[in-house]
Amino acid sequence: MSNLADLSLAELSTEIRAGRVSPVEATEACLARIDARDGVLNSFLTLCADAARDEARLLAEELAKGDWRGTLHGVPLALKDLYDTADVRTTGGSLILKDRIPERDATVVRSLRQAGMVLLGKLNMHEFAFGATGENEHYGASRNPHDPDRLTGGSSGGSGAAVAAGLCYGSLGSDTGGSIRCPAALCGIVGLKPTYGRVSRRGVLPLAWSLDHVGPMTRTVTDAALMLEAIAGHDPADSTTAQVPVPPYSQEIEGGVRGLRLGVPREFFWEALHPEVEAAVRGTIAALEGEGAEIREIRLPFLDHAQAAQAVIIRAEATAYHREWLRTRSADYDPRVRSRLVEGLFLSAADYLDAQRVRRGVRRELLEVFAGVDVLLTPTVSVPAPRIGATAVEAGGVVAPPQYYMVRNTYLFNLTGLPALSVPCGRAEGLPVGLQIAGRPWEEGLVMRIGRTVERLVLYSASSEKR
Amino acid sequence: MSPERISQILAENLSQPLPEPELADLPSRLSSLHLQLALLRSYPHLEEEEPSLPPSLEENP
Repeated sequence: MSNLADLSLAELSTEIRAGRVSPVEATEACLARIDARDGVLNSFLTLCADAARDEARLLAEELAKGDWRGTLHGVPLALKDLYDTADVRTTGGSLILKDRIPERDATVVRSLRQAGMVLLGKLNMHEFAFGATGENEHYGASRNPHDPDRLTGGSSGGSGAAVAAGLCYGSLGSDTGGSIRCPAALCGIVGLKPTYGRVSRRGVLPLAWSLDHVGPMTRTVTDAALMLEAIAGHDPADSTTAQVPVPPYSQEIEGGVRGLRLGVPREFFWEALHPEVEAAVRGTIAALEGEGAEIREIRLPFLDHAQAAQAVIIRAEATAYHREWLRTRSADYDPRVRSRLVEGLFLSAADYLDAQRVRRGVRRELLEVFAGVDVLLTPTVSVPAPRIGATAVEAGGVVAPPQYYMVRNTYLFNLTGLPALSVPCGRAEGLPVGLQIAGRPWEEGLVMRIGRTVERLVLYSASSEKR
Repeated sequence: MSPERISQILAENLSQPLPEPELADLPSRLSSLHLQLALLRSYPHLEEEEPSLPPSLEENP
């Protein structure tokens, strides 16, 4: 085994189950990698090295007694720093919560601990998840493992960097407009935003309640399926979670794409697009057609209205959550985050309700599109990772700030609550490119099945990346 | 919205005055937001729609 930290989660799990690797060895491999690389990558805000070693020892003792909890037994993971973790600080990437230590775990953290996770620590993020570049005024930007002068994307930027660089075997991000899929695309990993209601958000710091989603960020599609199996399901403590059975995702993803109808939007997603990103995505779509899928061109005429609804809802809900801190600690926000929150002060209840009315119509129209296709395919992010500090990026004749490109292709599936995956599909300027695959509600298994096919076709391996 | 009304909302909701660059930028940000609101109200099916519930609540068995 060349380097233990380079194994996928599934590979590590197999080694642990077979007794060839202990949780202690896996944990030490990650801690050594963190020590070697995170001085540059800046992905961890809190490292729990001692606690992780203790957890790994206890889990190794369980294995020695013949007790195996399941696939995640002894697997070192790290979490975006907005998941409540008992006795471990949870900052939301903010100054306001820099010393906050929750008393109890978020529901998904409890699920992962019960499944046997070793918690390595908490990961850098855009302040309060309200931004998509991965830059953080207070703790510094997370840096892209493929080029540390480049953005990770955000808001789950530390998760993107840590998973891509082999500092952990997987992470949980959160996604309100694209914050799992964007860093996944820019860092060359897999990121899944499940259906709204699929995974509990209790104990997760909110950005916008009706748009927030929780999901895995991993090096392979199989790993994402395994993590989703551990966290999905109804939670009585989160009224928005659904009573929908959780299928064995990891057993559903090897079926290939033959006979599936893959929808490709005709407009919008092919504008403001880097030519090498377009080439990688179109090449992957052609390869899927070669595997027996049917490509169908579709139209989404409601995108302008969808974007307006997303912009209003996210500002209204975020400002409602932050209102008291704005009144008492407004100087403690990153100015770029504060500016967005201030905009929400100027929205009325009627504005918010109009946005929710449009949202319902957009969702209905999008579901009608899905009557003719099984999934939609688009580029996840339309440019390769911009340079940290860049103020303008050009693509397809459009010059705009990096933030413009980060979530323009992803927010639609937050607004409509549909599952969407980003999977690596090639390179642009030598940097990773992501393909976005979006499906009908509760069809994460199908979305990941297509992602798994892409993974096989592209023969992309995070283990070949610079580390 | 008048400059006086903007100042009043900021004073009521922020613990400290906005720094000058953010204050100077605010009118153009609010103009962009108002364009979004106008776009919302132009949605062709607006009159047919009630406000959305979170999707899972609409679909829960």
